Amino acid sequence: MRISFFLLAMTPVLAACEMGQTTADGPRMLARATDSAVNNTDLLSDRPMAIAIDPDGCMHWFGDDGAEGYANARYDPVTGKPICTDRIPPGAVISNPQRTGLIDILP
Amino acid sequence: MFRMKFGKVLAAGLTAAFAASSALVAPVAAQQSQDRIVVSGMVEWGIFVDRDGCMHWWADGGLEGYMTTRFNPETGRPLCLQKESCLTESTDTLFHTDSHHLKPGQREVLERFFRSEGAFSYAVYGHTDERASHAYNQALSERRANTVASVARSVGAFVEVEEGFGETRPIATGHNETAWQQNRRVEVVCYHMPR
Repeated sequence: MRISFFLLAMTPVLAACEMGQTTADGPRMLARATDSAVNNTDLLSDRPMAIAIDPDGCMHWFGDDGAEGYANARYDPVTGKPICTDRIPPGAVISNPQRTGLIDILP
Repeated sequence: MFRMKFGKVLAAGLTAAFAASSALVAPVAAQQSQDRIVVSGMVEWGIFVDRDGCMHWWADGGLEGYMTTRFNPETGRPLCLQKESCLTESTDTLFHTDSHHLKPGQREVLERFFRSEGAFSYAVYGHTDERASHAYNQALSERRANTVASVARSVGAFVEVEEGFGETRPIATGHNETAWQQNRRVEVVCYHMPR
């Protein structure tokens, strides 16, 4: 995946423009279900999510979507209870959470 | 509004969120004793379906992202699509009536299943039909779940959860032999890890 530095630098600007819009009825649109990053337009469901283990040992779906990150609990589909384990250390991430080619900076 | 039938909740989706926001403002403003509600903005939530079939709401806010669980408002449980369980086996095949001891050959079948599936861990759930007492069915489903979980453990599989539901979670709703037969089952959920 190729991303030019220009596009990368423009991401916050473009995103800010889009989110500043108001809806027809008045309230400001704060977020919507389309990726605002410039280098892809896929829906979140199209790409795999990683698994992150929280400090209690419970699993969460975990994905870095470029300009933003997402995480939410993993549930047993039959009982709806969280899925937890003591066989993976807390804080660990399984598989690659990075889903775009955007450069990742952690200060 | 919150007593909506579950089917309606499913169908309503995003549009309901928009309709609700404008409907909320007017009546509340008239009642001074209640908290004043100010709609400062809107979020157009989308649905993310995870590998287990469970749904999450998500939205991209530009330089930030939001995600939360989609719940069934009636049960309070996460809303998950009906996916095939990793294994649903009739207890008529596995066990004799009223027994939690495996029929001849069934141990080998289960061992083969757990060896080939290779999931990170498993949940094993036992279910009975509605005949006999609630307490009896509860105990029988627990013993049967334990039998299957023990076979899993004997071949090195990790069973994180082992639970009996008795007659409380039927998949067929009728009160006849056809329904009962479907409801007598052991369910195995496989917790696979992403690669």
